[in-house]
Amino acid sequence: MTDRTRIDECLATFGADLTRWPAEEAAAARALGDDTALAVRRADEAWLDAALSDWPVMKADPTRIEALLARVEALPAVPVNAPAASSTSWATTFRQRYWLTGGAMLAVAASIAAVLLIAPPRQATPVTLTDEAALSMVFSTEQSEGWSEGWM
Amino acid sequence: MPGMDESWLSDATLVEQVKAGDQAAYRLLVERHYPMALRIAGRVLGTREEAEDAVQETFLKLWRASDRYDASRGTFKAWIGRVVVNHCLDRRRALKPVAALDVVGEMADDGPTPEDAAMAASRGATVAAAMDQLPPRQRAVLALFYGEGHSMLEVAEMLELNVKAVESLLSRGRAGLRQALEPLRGEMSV
Repeated sequence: MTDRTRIDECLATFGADLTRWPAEEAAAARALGDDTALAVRRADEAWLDAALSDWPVMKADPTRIEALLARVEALPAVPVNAPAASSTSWATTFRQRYWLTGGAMLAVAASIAAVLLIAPPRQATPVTLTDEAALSMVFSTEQSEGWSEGWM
Repeated sequence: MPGMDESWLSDATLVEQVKAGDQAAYRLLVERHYPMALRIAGRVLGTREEAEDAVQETFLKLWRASDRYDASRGTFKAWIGRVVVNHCLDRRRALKPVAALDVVGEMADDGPTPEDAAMAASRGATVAAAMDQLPPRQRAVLALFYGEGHSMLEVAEMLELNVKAVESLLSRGRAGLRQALEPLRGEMSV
C-alpha cells in the first residue's frame, strides 16, 4: 500500500517522470488519475527535472583518448597486472602474513622457553639481618620521634 | 587478436583479453567507456582538467590491474563507473571548493541558434554553480541517476551502497539543488 506521503517522497526524490520511480509507487501515483494536488506537485518537480537536464556535460576529446592509448602502448606489455602480479588476492596475502606472523611468534616463544629451561635458576643470596638493621627498616628515627610526641 | 573485428565482443571478453596484454581489446574498451567516464567525472569534479586526469588514471588502472575486475560481481560498465567515481571523490577531497564552470563553454555549440545556445549556456552555468554547492557524493548520485539514466539498483551497485542510501543521497541532492535554484527560478525560464 502506497500512501500520499510516500508519493510525495518519490516526487521529491525521483522527479516528475514516473518511469524513473520504483514500479509500485509509480503504479500508485498513476492510480490517482486526475488528482489536482498531485498534478501541481508534478509540475513543480518537472521544473527541477528540466534544470537537471541543463547540467552541462563534457564531451570526450579524441586527442586525449589517443594520448592515453599511446601511453599504454609505450608500457611494457608483459607486466600487465605486474604489481598485483600475481593473481594474489587480499585473502591470500592475509593468509601468508598470518602464517608468517604465527611462525615468528612461535619462534619467540620457543626462545623464551629455551632460555628459561637452560639457564640455571638464580639462587637468592641469603641475607643476615641484625635486630638493629631490621628495626631501622621499619622505623626511622624521625617517624619514631613524631609518634612519641603524638602519643605521649 | 590484433587485426580481427572485435567490436562485437562483450566487455567481459575484452577484459579477459586485456588481462593477457591485448592492446586492441583495451582500445575497444576505452572507446566504449571513456565518454561515459568523462561525463561522470566532469559532473563530479567540475573542471575538464581534473576530470580528464581522473579518467586517464581510471583507464591506466584498467590496463595495469585489469585482474581486479571480477565479471561474477557485476558488469564492466558498473565496475569502471565505480572506479571513476572513487577516483573523483578522492580528488575532490584533495581539492579546494571552486566554482569551476569551464564545461559551460562547451554548451555554446549545442543550440540551433546562437541565442538558444547562449541561453542554454547561461542555464547550464547556473545549474553547474548550484551543483558545485552540493557534496561530491550527492553530485555523483545525481550524475549517475539523472545524467546517465541509471536505475537506483544500478547506482547502488556502482557505488557499493544499498538502495535506501542511494535514495537518501538522491533526495538530499535534489533538495539542495532546489534550494540553490529556487531564488533564480524566474531568471532561468526553463
